[in-house]
Amino acid sequence: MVDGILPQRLKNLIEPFSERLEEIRLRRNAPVILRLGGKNIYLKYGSGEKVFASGQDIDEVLRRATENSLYAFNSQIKQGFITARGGIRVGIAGESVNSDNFMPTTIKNVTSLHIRIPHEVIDCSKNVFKFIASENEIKNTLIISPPGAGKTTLIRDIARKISELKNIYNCLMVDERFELASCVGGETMLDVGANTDVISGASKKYAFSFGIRSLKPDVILTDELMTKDDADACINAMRSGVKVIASIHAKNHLEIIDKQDFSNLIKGKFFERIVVLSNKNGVGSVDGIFDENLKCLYF
Amino acid sequence: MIYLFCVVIVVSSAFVGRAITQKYVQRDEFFKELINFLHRLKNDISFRKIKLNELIDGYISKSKNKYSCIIAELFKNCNMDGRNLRFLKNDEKMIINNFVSSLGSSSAEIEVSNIDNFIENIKSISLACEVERKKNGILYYKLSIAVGIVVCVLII
Repeated sequence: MVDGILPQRLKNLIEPFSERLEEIRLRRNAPVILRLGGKNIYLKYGSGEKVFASGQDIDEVLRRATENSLYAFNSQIKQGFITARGGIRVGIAGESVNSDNFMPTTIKNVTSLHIRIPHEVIDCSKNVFKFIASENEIKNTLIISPPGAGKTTLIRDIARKISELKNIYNCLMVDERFELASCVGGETMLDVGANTDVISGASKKYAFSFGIRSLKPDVILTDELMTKDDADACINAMRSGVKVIASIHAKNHLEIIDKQDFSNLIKGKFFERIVVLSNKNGVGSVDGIFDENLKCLYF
Repeated sequence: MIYLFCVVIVVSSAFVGRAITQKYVQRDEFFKELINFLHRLKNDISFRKIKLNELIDGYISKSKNKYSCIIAELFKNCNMDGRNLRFLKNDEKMIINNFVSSLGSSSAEIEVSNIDNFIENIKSISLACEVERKKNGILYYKLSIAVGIVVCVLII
């Protein structure tokens, strides 16, 4: 998947690591770093010398990731990332080009790229699923985790498993950054279940509102609540009777309570289940599952 | 027998005339189809922001024009040296090549602006080709038939 966006010389060097590869960091004129199984290592030649990324490597990755169509990705680039085919997220660091009112219009002179490779882990939600869903009911669930702890992979698998239930639940997946389902040309590149509709690239506020009206979902799944608008969209959906399974960046639920924009999600007891993930015992470790009263159901 | 031979000569000269005019016809039809494609490109980039390869694939699947594959190949691989483009002049190839190489490297607004400028360039070439086709195309066709008839008269 990731070899589609890498220049040939890096492709050949990284290929032996592809199965366990989680991330690649390319920095102009700096050593290439790979993340394998939760650990960072330098990419090295057979002689032991570190492999350095050049400006040309970075430009070529960008060209390949955008499929020679920068205009199609400008709205993502303004936010500092590109999602390439297969759900590969390429974070971009460089010089922000701003409009007259200091809103970013694009990024130029890119200095580094952070490439995150999605991994479908079928059944990774096996232990969590029984707490959040059954044939008769899906519970509003908030998944809390720090970055890179597997919440996107978990949500994707939850969607897939909901489609496997005997009772049919229509799911709507709000995939703002093309990471959950990675739709290309109208087809999902990652398995999100047969009963899942996907709205890609739209803000959660829009997708929740129009999705509920036009697609009448039983469950909405989404990743990375970032703003108060995102939180409000979830609350409005839940008040409309639609179940919501969402994720948020934080160490644990106590950190959420401290965040002004999101504290109501916990204090308001909107989410019947709170799942806390970490990297303690590897990606996707479940630290705890709590109910709406923060009573621990699993530790 | 002689009359049959004369018929063959006239028909052959008509074919020769047609072959000579074919170049003018090809140029005219190619540039007209190129303009159609560019309008489609502009719409798809500005409105739906479709990626170039998908856009070109969609164009090939829907277009029944005989030049659509040539245009698609041009825009996908920037290949100006193919046999299919022999009817283009060198400066025309350069203009097209410069445009195609710059495609896909800026925002939608700038792409649309570049496409508009390129369409204006191509329109003037297309107009010249149309005039050439009407003037020279028909002229050479009639001339070659006339030559054929003259040869027949001389033979008879």
